[in-house]
Amino acid sequence: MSAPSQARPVRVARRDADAVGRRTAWNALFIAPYMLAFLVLLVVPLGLGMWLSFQDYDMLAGYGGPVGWENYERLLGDRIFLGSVRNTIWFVIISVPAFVGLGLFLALLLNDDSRKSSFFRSIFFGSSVLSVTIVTLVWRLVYMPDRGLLQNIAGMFGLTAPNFMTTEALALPGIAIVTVWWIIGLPMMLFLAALQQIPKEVYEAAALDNASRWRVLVSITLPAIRRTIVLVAVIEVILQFQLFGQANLITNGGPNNASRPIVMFIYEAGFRDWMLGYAAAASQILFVLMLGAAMLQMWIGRQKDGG
Amino acid sequence: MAGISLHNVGKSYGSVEVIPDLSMEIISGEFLVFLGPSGCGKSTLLRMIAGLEELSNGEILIDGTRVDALPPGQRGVAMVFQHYALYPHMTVRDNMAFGLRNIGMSAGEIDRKIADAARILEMDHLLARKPSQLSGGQRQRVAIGRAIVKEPKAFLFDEPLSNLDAALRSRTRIELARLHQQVKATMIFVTHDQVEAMTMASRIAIMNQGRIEQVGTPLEVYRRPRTRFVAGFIGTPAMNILTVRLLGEDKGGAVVALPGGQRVETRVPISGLASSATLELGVRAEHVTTGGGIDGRAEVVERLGDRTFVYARLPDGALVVYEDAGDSTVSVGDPVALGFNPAQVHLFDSAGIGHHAA
Repeated sequence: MSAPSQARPVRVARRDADAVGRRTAWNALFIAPYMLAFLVLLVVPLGLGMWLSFQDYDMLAGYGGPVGWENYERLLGDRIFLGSVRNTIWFVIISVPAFVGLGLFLALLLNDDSRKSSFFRSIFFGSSVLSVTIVTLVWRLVYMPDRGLLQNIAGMFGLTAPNFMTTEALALPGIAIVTVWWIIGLPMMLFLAALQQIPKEVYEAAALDNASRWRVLVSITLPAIRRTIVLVAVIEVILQFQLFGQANLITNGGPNNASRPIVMFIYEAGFRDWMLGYAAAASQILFVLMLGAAMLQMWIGRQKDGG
Repeated sequence: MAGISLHNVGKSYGSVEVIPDLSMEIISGEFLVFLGPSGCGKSTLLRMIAGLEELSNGEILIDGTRVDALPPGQRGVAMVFQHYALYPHMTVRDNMAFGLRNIGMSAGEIDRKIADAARILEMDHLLARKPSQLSGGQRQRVAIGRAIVKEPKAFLFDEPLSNLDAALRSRTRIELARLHQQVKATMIFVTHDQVEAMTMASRIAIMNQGRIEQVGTPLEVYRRPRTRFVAGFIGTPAMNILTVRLLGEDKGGAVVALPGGQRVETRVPISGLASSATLELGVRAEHVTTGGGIDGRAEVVERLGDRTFVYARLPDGALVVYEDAGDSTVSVGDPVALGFNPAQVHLFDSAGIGHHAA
């Protein structure tokens, strides 16, 4: 009687311990909901898009069978597509440094416990919650050639405001300003979070070491948040390559295609002209561009890490 | 090497007064330890000397020059922080060179100073490493090295040993004491650990609630605690404190009675005691003798090998700890008879001020 009753708890305990470490088919159940969403909503469309890019698939003319690299060859000869690639890359080049630089600047400025800082943090982050429709509406009122806010302000000084919506060279910079104004909050918050991780003692040690504010920034703060700088740059590269709403609503890609980004080209090819294969091929090129840019950023980040 | 004067120094955060009004002289070249419980204001005081906290009142002079309005870097002090505060992305060498570069010292001079400090601290092999590649003890050493190269007028240590394990702590204690003899600089050390204070200090300043209770050499504060707080804070186990009643005078010393009526003779002069409303008797464990007229019963026996501490309950409920030999045969529940060495008994008046044998 007594022997089994003593042995049983031991055996039960061992079985439990085994179960914790053992891989069983049941474990898969725990990740099934996410797995399902991941497969259906990400992996399948990704594969489908790649497959489509090698097909002649026109919603009006119907399915014309596989065409190999023909869609890609046509894209490389399409002036409007090449222009949109140039525009998008230019937009990334002017907007991402602004996000990193301005985001960091605001974070450094607002990195304290004062009520004033928390007020401005909310203000700068607040605009991020607005939809692109509202943001562009507001900025169209600012940019409007004759009666816009910008012209009114310039007019007070007897000047003429630059016309962001109708000047080819200014269209993308104009959209970049809107975009930075709209979503500068996220980079700022990421930088703030990183800055708050730096121990206060390190700054105190620097103060005792006679470090100037500039020296502290360059030698203490920036190296400490280097990973966040890379992170923000990668996030913004990925986000800004997908420019669409602002360009669509402010300039509609104009003037003279000067602000037409790749996503807008894809949208028009796919949902205006119904050339799904062609649009899918353009999407794959955007995907490769984004992947390349993000990998380059990360590689640069690692280089500094070693040095 | 420089003396530091604190004149009527005060610090408040809003309506919270951390240090009301504190004045003291720190002698050039001494190893002064600020000792006190958490929240007594000792770290705040150190940070005010360093320039990391502003003064609400008073002034601080280093080497006769008023410094309380100067930025930390211009006060000529170096600080070793509790969590080391090394610059994480710099090598040990760069950590030590940083402050020297900032004042425009030549590269050759910097190299020479780092080499000297590395030799003193025996850490030449660590110079190329980053803080993340060092153990806690090595980081501590680098933090000290970073202070040494600056050749400061005074070293400030803010509980620098509290993050080390016990073995490393006692070794670092010895090294710090040796370093003090070597560089002969003024050192101010903040700690809540009385062993650190007793072993390293030239003088100890015991702080309580923003005030200095006593400043003295380790033996002075141990043997003649100025207040009841100091008596209770210094020494392990803590001094026995018993409420007593003044009976009179015998052979030039006060005679008191325990609550249970037992008579205790002391060598404390009676003058100044009679006016006190209450009186407490203090006696350390090593000054409690066995074979006296005070009966008790052993309740806890702590055997440390070289000696034994016995906690005995008196009939009136008071607990008295006494030191016995390492091979003591006392066990829990045994009756014990205790006596107090009259020359080593202290009396504390109602204001908490200590009175000692003449």
